[in-house]
Amino acid sequence: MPEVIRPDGRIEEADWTLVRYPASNDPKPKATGKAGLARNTGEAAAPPELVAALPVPPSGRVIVPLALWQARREELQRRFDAGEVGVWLDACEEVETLVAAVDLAAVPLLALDFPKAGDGRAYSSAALLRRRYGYRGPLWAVGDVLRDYFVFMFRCGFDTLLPRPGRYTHAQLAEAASQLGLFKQPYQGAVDDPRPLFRRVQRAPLHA
Amino acid sequence: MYRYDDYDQAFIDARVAQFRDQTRRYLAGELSEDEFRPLRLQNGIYVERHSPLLRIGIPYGVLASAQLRAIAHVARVYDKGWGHFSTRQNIQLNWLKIADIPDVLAELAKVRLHAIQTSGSCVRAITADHFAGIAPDEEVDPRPFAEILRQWSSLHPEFAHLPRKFKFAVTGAKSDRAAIRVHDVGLAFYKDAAGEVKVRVYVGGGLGRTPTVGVVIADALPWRQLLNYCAAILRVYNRYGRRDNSYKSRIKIMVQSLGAARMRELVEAEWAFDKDGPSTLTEEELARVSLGFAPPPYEKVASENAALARLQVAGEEHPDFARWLNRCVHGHKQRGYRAVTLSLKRRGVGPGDVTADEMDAIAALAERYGFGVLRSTHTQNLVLPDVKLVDLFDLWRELDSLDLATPNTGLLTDLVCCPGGDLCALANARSVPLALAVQEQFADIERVADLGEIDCNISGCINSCSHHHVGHIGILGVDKEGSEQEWYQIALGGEQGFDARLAEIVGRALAAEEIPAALAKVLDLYVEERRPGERFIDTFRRIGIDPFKIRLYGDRARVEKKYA
Ligand code: SF4
Repeated sequence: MPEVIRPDGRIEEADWTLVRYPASNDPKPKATGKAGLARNTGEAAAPPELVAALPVPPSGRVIVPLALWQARREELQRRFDAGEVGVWLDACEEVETLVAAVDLAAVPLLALDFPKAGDGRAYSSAALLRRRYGYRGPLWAVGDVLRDYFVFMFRCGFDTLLPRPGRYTHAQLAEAASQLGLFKQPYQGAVDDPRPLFRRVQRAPLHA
Repeated sequence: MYRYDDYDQAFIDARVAQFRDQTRRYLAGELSEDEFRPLRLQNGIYVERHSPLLRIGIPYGVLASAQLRAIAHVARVYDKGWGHFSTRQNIQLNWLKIADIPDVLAELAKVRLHAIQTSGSCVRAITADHFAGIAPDEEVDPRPFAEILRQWSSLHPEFAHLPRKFKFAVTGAKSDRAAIRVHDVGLAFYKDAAGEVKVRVYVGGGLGRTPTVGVVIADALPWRQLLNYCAAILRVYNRYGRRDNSYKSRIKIMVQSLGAARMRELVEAEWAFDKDGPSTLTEEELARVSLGFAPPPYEKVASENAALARLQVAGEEHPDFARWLNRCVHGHKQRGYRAVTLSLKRRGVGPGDVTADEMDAIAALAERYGFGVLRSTHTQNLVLPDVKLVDLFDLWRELDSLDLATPNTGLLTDLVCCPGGDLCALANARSVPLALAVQEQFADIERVADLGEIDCNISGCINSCSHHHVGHIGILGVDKEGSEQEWYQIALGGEQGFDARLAEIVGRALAAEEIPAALAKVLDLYVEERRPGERFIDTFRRIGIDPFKIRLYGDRARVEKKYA
């Protein structure tokens, strides 16, 4: 069972199954330039055939891609109503699309994908979901979820982090959990506490 | 200068502890090369041609004597005893070992220095007018705002992994000395008719492969909105900036493809959500931070006349002193004081390079002559910002004995030059030996003084670390496939400042050995053509590039032009 980590450092077994596209769906590097493996925001996460063909486990709690939820809603509606279908958003997909397609009050879980560690779009997506769209339910970070960025993710409003299966041992996760409080008073406001340091504490006056 | 409180200190101490752990995991094989790379970059560490390079931040170019001594100390103990001041107003150590860097950072943290976000795809260390707070033409001291931005952008969780690097530059003066229009965001602070501080926001400037001059997207932003507005820009960029191709991922490409008007709309729409949010700045916070930039205890001087008369006499006796006064001493807000440039552009020394012993000597001079503070400039020099007029002669003697009084500030041989192929892994050419050759060609300081103000910038590759696109004379190392030699392109007519312009390429690349002579030809033409009082750039604007083409490439240029 893959493990997830929570803001207070608890480590739990993941009780949801993430339904992913096959790895071959990764965009191909371009011939020129220093190409990165990334789709730009607004591009489709997967072609429709792939979405149509993607197998979903017949029972249990599943997190399906947004495009799949949009295309195959009827097939999943009953399980959704039973609280067994969550939805995940690719980094190239816009939060606005998610908000239009999913009832935020009813969905039992949302997840945002970090296709690679250096792709920071999901931080903004999380912040928007929490602050602009008022989503209060579980919000998972999935994909390239690396321990050195756990704090950033929690600060942006994620409450559950799912590193790639096998990336960390339980001991390594426990060590990462023990370091979550390293930066006690961050300078800027974020989702976890919107107040910047200068509103959070009384800072001593400075002298020249 | 800004003094850290316990929160600031706890922050950089935690950062050192974090990086120590990351380095340990990297050396133990728990972190792959790919995973470690962004972590080390955001701590200022590049792995270069010979060894790791550490880029130590000097936020907005303000440095204390004690900090410079600490840099000298780590340069001596952990490096080869010297450092390189770069065009980012920071200093680079070039020969470190990865395993030592946590210790180096811990030493630096004791004097409130760090390397956080001096590199990587994040908001980088913020640069500023090096005469901020002292320039006679300044309306608003931008340093408190730069410090507020430094704090806000340090480990900002939402903007930790932007599509690409993101550079801010700030100024509060009537003329721009911080090249704000060639930064991702340039902030010009000013006072409006009612005396309120406002900000003009330029976005989308940058050099490199696609040199671009930034455009205004907000003309009169109230200062309290600074963080809200910058967050809006960054959020738009974080979401929509290209990530598929690193050559196209700077915000300038986004601004170019959307247009300034659309960019402004997007940013305004985003800003609307947070306009009066908790990150809105307060009078109290600005006042608190500003205290850290209060003027030092200047001595009151009734008149400068007597001191000026004495300097005049000294200048007649010592022509070198007169030249130095003329080039390296700058006006000051405070009567009886001047700012002094310490030229790091010396014959036989790489531009911006300083030894540890020199750093110690400079730190001592700063204490004796200037309240223990220094500035670093984006033209790779140092400045003593607060020198008494009556001390100038003594200071000059000391600087002269340290080879720090070359009277060339703002002149041709004040070359801005990146480390290039001697150190940098990306280089096409070794820019430093070329800079030294140019120094030799123009060793006659009287000739250089006669040529007047010229910005000459040499970059070892298209990454343009030396801003060659906005040099009056820009020299760029280019790659010629299959060639053993090093090749350079010359461009003319670039300009920094509020009216920044990009230089035009004169013609085909020339071999490194040909460059000094080619420069001499360009400058001979200028001398022949100039009208009284015209600087090189003025003459260039008047006569255009063609005469320079013909002078450099002969009649072939004319023929090519005719049939082009
Ligand atoms: S301009 Fe090129 S060669 Fe020079 S320091 Fe920058 S990347 Fe290196």
